[in-house]
Amino acid sequence: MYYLIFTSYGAFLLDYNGDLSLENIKYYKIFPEEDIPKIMYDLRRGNLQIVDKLKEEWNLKDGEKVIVEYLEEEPTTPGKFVRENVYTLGKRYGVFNSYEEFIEKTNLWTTELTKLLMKEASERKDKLIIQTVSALDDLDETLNLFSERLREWYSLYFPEMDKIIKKHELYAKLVSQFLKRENYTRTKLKEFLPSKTAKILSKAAKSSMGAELSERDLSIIKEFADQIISLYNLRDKLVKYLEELMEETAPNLTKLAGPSLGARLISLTGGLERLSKLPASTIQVIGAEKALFAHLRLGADPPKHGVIFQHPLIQSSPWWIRGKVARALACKLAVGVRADVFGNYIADELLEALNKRVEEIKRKYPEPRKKTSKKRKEKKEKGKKKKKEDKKKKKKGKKSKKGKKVIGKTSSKW
Amino acid sequence: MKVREIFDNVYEIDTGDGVRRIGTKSLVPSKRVYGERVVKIEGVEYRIWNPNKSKLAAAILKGLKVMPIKRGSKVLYLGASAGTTPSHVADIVEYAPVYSVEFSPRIMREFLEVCKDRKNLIPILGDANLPNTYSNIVEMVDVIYEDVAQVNQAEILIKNAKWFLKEGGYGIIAIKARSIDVVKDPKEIFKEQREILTEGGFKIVDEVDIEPFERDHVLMVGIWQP
Repeated sequence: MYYLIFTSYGAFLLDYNGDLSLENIKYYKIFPEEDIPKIMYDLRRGNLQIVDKLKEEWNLKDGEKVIVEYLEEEPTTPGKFVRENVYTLGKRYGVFNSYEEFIEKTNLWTTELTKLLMKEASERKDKLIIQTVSALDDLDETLNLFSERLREWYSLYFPEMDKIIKKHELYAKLVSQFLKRENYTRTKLKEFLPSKTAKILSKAAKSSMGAELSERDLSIIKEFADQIISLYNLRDKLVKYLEELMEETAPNLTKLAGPSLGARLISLTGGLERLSKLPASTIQVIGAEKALFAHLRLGADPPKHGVIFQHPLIQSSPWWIRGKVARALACKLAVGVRADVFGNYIADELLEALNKRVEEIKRKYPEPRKKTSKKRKEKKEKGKKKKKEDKKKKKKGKKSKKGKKVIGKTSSKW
Repeated sequence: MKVREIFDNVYEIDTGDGVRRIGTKSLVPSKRVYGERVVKIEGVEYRIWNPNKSKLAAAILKGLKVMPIKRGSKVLYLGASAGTTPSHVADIVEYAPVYSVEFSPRIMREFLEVCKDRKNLIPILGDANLPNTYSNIVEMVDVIYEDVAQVNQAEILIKNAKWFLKEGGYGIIAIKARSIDVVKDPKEIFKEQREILTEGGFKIVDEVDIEPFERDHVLMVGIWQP
């Protein structure tokens, strides 16, 4: 029986029927050193062309049975023998001269292999992120639609509740739990609602103007509400899954932007790597394409932020510095994403620098700047027009389109 | 400051403030791995081994009697994480390889940084449940150290021992009761795990409860006698 045993630097074919010594090595192949990480990578990915290649090289007939230990669930005796002698064999065939060299080379090869494996891991994962974000969007749309339907439907029976319970998820839960009007008692409702709302709702249930519906009519409504609840549960699961994925794939981005915003940026650009190649100025306005093109074509105000507007740092800032904060944030995001692609973790430093910068902006601009005087405004307008025309001339000398320019109203000049 | 060797290449370091500390000789002086304290005594740099961050250090401080990791021991380390304990293990074995398996690519990134400086740390991104997938890298070893928070951690140790552990070699396993079963009594769990290990081929020779450094954790040492 033949056994094919892989080591990091080569492959050995042993003829084994009970006794073992170096004599059992029938054939061997030492890999070229520069190929080793790739060969190990192929093995790990289940790419086994190398096995066929070796068989051919060693002239093994098809009928010959060869056990490839790498694919077995249990170790084999020849495999153990080779593993006991990894260094000795390598030395014998001139792969290393000293034990130290053996360790250093192994470290080098496995590091390269690990990098190859990790690269693939993050490449595949960003596609998963994109799908998950899209699924969440679909789900939100569907949930709104279904919830609206449930409200309309159940309102035939208990119209007052529609106004009292605003949250869709809660509404569906209440329908599923109580269903019949006589079940809406204050004590029971208190488990789900603040006592004030519970009081109002129970009162409304007692004197409802809704039509009477039969058991059969109501039970199908309950079924529908149950489905909505299960969709909400699915949504929660997706959100949690997305968070885990993001933490794994893009830790810097996740720390800086949060999982949902980070995921959205990846999904809008079509991948982590593509996102990492974008300049910060582009990241700043991702998601505001319409406004950006309106600005470029028609001379409207440029957008200050795209989806990164969702970031709490921007939302919590007063309007007159949001543009600045967005720019600072976009810069750090751009750096962070690049670090993600190359496998470094630098988010803590970035976040610190960002917070510092935002503090600085807040200190520097405590209140909105007053409108400039008329004279200066005119001056500015002239300058702007001139600049615009220059730019357009550069762009293949296109005729400058006269769009509906609204100048002087912008809040984004500075 | 005084130094006393308590195990092969493991030192007790007395800095004079009454706290009992252990440390290892730094293989790459002037480099820190996880922000640990570094002291220089008679020209030799020691890295203080933090028991709050490393279960092996905690076990040593709590009176581990059998310490199988020595100078020159080849080690298979399952669950390398960011490299806190592996870096000290690498210090102890000096010029023998420490094959370090870690499952999460995210943490592997940090671990790779540690491997850059310590050439005897061999990084392996892989699943400890599937020893065959790294059988072409790992050789037969003297010690397997396992610290993976998995439900079947005892089985994982046995599986890997079958592939890589020399007969008479040692298995060290950090058992986290809470990751096996949250509600069960930890004592009960340790008993179960001990049985699984014994049946699998390990003769348990030492067992240390590492309270107060970690709660419901036990470090077991066994000899492989399949």
